[in-house]
Amino acid sequence: MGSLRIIKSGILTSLQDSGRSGYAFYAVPCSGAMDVENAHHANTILGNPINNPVIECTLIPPTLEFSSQATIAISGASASWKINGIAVNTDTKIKVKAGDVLSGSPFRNGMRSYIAISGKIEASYYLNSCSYNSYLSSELLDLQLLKKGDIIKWEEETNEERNIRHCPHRREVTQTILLRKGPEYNTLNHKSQQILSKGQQYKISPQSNRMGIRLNSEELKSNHPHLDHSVPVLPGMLQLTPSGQIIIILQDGQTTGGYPRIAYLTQDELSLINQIPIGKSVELILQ
Amino acid sequence: MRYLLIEDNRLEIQNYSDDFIILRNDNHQQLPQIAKAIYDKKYPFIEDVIATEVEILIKLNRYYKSGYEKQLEQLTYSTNNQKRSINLPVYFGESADWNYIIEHTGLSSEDYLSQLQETTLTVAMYGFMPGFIYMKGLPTHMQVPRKENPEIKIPKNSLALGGPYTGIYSMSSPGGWRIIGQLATPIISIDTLPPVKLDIGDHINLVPISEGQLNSMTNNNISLEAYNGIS
Repeated sequence: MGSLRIIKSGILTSLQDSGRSGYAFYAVPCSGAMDVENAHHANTILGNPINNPVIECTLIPPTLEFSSQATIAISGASASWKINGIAVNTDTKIKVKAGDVLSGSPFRNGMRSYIAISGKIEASYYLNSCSYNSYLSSELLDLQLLKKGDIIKWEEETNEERNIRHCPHRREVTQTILLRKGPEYNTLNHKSQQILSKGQQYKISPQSNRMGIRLNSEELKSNHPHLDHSVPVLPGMLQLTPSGQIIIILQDGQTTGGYPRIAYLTQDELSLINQIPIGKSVELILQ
Repeated sequence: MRYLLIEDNRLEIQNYSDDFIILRNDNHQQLPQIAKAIYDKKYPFIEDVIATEVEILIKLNRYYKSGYEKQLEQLTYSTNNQKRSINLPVYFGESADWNYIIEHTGLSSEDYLSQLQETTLTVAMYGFMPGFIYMKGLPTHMQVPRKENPEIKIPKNSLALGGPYTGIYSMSSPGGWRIIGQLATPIISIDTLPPVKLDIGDHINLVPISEGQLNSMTNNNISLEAYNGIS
């Protein structure tokens, strides 16, 4: 059994896997890594099963002190990661010795980064997933944010023989996010449909979190701003509120809603938009 | 328009690329039962099923191939539902939302509350988040639209109105509904599936209680089962 101690928590540092899909029927959100491709990538580099728990870091990474040796991999937003003050490469295997300290600077080109450890991290599970959920956790579950002093343990497994699967390549990190037409796209007035076709810049509101990204858009108008009934929503769906705010449902978000679903993002585009920091601009354009 | 026939129920089907499928029918008949049958069948190409009163959404995964949805036509579903009658104790306090409701409906809060007590609500669907239920049966003249912009935080165990529905927020969360009261017996049960103690089809009576009763029931952790004398 290997272990490490959290010296500094960073912000919103949590354990994540691919999430608890299959329970949206009971309104349980999927949760899981916000950039699941990079979470899978970090596991893949080590030969771990892709769904193994990883440490998700957000904007300010944690500082970790290893109590035992380990092989780790880091992928996602760049943080100038260092071990004992010496720069290390990401997206590759890193050998760590007992006593080593991993630290990083605030992210410059993204929002989230993933640390995987060769073997399997011990975690609490709810509905087959260890993924922290930003509101389920606080009230009901034993899935908490990682904090200073926490110990993370892992079962060391020999993964060396496992065939390394390469994740399919996706688009480079970008400010341009591709939309597909949603179920209520046709309720948008003509001008709004043109805006989405030509592409438009929006600023990511500070009110955004793991449940949803909020974007202010005064120009977009639906001819049917309140739906008559609540309808299903998925992570990646864009809802337009009557006041013209776009809410993009994210991993921890709700499973039904009453606002028009004007467009949606595929899984890859969802991971990409989840890398755009709060306050920065995003261009939304119909595919 | 394309259709699927499940038993004798004709469902309109719309595919959104290989990402998800939406099913609807004219009179919304039996949609919850059909959704449950799809969910229980655990098709390998389906990642998630979400059902509301008017729509079933099927999220597809990478095993989906064009035309697989035809397999749903082999399904059978059950319509045999035993309805229970459940009392929910609620403290109807004052709130900014009440002012809106009075203005919008033209009823005084006393009239609104006495009519609400005479209304039998029915659990229509799960959704939004764990422990949230949508109840139907609110007369049209008592309905109010959702807020223009959702609130960032609604307190847990809030009873709220949104369009045709009356709902319960079991957990504090963002939300756009108008809050009318506080529930004294939580309905959430996070460690079970479903994570809520009420079934679709249950009949719900709202029972007004005082602020003192709310505090005493909350402090004594009175359960929904104990309050209703059910197990």
